[in-house]
Amino acid sequence: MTNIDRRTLLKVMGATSLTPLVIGGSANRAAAEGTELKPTSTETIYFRGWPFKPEVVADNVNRYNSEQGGHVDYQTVTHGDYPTLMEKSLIAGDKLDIIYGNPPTAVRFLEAGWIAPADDVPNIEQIKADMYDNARNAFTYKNKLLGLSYFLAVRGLVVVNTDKQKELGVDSAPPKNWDEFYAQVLDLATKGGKDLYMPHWFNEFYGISWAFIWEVINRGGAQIDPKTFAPQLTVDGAGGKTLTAWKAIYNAGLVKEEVLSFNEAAIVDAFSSGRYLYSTQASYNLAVFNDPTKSKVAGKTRFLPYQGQSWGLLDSAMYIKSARKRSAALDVDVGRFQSWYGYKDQTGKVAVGQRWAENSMLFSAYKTVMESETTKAAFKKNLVAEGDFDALLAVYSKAPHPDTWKTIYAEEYNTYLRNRLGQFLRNDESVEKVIGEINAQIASLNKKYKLG
Amino acid sequence: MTKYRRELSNGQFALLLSVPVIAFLLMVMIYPMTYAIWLSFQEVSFFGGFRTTYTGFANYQEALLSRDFWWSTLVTIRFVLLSVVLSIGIGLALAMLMDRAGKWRSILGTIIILPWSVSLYGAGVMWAYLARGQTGVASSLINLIRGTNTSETATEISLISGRHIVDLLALGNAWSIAPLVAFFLLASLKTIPSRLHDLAGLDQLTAWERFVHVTLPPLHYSLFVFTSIAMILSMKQLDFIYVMSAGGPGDASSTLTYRLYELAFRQSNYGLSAAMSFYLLFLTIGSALALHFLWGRKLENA
Repeated sequence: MTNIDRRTLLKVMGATSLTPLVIGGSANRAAAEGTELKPTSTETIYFRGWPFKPEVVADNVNRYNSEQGGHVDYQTVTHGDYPTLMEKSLIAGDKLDIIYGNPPTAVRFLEAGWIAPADDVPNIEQIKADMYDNARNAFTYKNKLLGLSYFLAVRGLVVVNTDKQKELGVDSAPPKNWDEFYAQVLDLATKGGKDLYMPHWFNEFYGISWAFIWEVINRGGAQIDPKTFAPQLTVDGAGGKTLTAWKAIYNAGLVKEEVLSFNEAAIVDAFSSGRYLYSTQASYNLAVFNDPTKSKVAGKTRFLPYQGQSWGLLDSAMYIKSARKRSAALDVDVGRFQSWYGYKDQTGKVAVGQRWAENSMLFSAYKTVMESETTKAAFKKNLVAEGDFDALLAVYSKAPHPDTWKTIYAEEYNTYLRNRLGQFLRNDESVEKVIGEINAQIASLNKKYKLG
Repeated sequence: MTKYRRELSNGQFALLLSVPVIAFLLMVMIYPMTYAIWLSFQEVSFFGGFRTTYTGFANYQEALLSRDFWWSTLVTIRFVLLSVVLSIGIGLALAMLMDRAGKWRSILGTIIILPWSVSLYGAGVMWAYLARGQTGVASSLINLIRGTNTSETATEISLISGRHIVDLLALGNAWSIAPLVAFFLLASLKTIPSRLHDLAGLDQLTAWERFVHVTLPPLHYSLFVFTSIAMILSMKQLDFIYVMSAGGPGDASSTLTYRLYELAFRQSNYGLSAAMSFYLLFLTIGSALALHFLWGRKLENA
């Protein structure tokens, strides 16, 4: 795992007077390179995305089509089971050129030969140089860059409703780690506190399973040995402690069973309602929680700071190029569009990435975006206190990229965890049994893929 | 000498009429069915190139030994039974309502048919919003009536909890199927001569006796047909479950169709999924045959 050094990041971000020069300089360099991003043919590029702000994506694509004479056909895949649907489309040989992908999905697709690495897109050296180390590490597998940056975020940020904090009389120092967090929640419950925590246990591919993955890492544990792929969970270790804590709050009635049927929108709605004290969320949802038109906790939502233990994981996604058979001209066109959309446009601006950062609070892999004053100002609009911006960067810079995601079977393992963890909670199963079965599942997947 | 052409029996005539449909179905089904049979005896991998390994009956055996398979079978049976009872019950009630609606029948009919025209995806999204524990209208209303919103001690009901989710899915499924049932039963109700109701009035039969002795008998065959249809539609239901509960919470509402989807499409375990799909097929055919022998044949002989 590689984390960006917070001090370095802050130091660079603090160099505000230099920022315009940096951006201007980059633009000039791009212009000087004279990289051509216009298509060479009239063949259609098929771009399929998941349904996050599709109107913004369509607008970006339209801009490419109108300004660069592109022929990009963009459509949204309308349900949340995106990786599964894309996998089947790729197996079926559908017309797909650019897709979204989280790192575990991309690793699987690359191993299967369905996607092409981004190492030969125009401006690749400049792109790599502009990426933070943690992002480049997340996007790299077997020395190949899997795709270009769509977004990064902390998923598993523990957001706090400060009004509810006052109402419950919580005036102690904020929890420094998961053990302290659960101890505080259980203590408040014994004193009669209600609606203390809305966990990230929803029923989507990035719900309850990811919550388990990050908590094990945050506690200093691992699930799979990165070299031998041997299962690493133990009852006394991070995995066992995580399950024990989950069981304690679930059996105490602090988390309702229905959460296991929720989607992400439901947990966002739940916290926005002002009912809960804590919730584990994606960092970009701070933009929702602190927006008075969308939330009852606007101006009252902060988060637990980094105090020696990381919170959550580094969530990220890329624009990925499929490896389908296409003409040489179209292949060049797809690379050009990928570069335009995933990095700089013809004017030398990281236009798409900058737009996501400003409008949706999505982190970018690129220093050009993250170190701009515009980004800093846009992020601060969604935060409550002056120090929250630096605190968020601190949490972000320490958020780990799971080693589990660098295995070919990460998606299958994820599906297994999603079911198994729900069963564990609902049926009040023993921690020993579940840890044993998860390890057995890892061993079975190793056998299936002849690893280790 | 006059030659007499042998007359076709009713069954033969029906078969003759069905020949084009049967031929078409065979054409579109033979390939996928054969492929599924072949898959069920293989272990399939897409990594490092597409390859398969013959495994004999291992997938069928693995399914039978799987706790998940038996759990999903039980969930399926519960879901199908509830769906059928609710679809037929609600359909019959709606048909009788329309039959007596007089000049309001066309407006009522338009309203009643609406659920049938809603896509199952859309229905799933809508039902999920209605049933959600803390913000769902239906859950909130139930808790309001029970007084659990204000009580400190009573437990709030959540319709999408593991205890109620299958019942709720069945209700949503019935909400979608019942309009179709209602319109076909209405057509049968219209065949009942009004003089039968007049005679029942002269005999001073109660409303229940009229329902049992006058209304219900002509509906028997339609009820049998729609029980079969509702059963098969429910057995193969996936869209609504996928959108509304995604098999959750945990695997509380993982029917066999949902389990098959997850195995094949999320875990890329095509062999096991194909084998399990044949158990579902046997269950569907077995249930249809059982219904036929227990009920359909009695109607034929009546």
